[in-house]
Amino acid sequence: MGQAAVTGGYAWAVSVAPSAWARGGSIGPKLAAIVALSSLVGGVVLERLSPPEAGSARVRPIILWTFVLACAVTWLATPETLTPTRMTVARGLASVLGWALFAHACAAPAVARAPEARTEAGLAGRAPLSKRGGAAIVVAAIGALALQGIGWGVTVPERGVLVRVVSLACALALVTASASVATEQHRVRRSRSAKAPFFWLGLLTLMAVGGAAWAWLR
Amino acid sequence: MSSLSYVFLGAALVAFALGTYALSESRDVVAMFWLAVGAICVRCAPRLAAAGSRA
Repeated sequence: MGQAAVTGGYAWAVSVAPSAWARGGSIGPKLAAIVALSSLVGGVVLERLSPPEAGSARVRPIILWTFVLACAVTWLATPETLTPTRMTVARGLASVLGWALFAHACAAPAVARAPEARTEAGLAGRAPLSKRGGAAIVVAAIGALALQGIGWGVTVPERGVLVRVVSLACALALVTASASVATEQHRVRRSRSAKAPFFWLGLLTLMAVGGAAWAWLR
Repeated sequence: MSSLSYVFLGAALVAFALGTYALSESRDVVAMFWLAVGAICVRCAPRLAAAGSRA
């Protein structure tokens, strides 16, 4: 709960609080925002006071859902604060990052110190990730984050949502592909033959030629 | 062949950035072109790495 509370508090501070306390806002969104933050604080206090076996683990989903729904109520009550003209690029990026971290902290198990690895005689240990592979994943992750910075100045809401969805899909594809490339050397090989993707390379060449021809002719 | 997969990853990143930017500028045909190029690059990169590591 502690990790979810920290990331949730960050997401609340960068995306919910500015909407609730926007100029000219009513009391409703402010109350919903206070309920959201109180649920997080209450969850942490409850977890400290009673161990998970005593029932605090059962209350955790209720606390998290209260937080998320109260945040949603705040946004629904102040939709004008989420328009691209009021949302800056920095705040948009910080919000995306905050809610992604909160989702990860809620869905993934708590990060704890890993136990000492056992070594078995006669078994080959796991090969470490190559430096080039690790660098590719880091660069792809940075590029995926940078993609989220494009298109925040779009004034048409539908177009803005489309750009956000497409940039998220591109970021996911990029990170997935970089992880596949980096871990390919560790894969268990069942067959010796692996063909180069001639079809896709041909299609790419065709597109490059077609694109160049189109740009030249127009 | 394995090094080529990293080149394709970089090309995919550039193509996706160009495609997303073109989409935000309402240049849909250009956006579709660059997004398709990025998707093909993303598709090719792991396969090139596999072909390179098994060669």
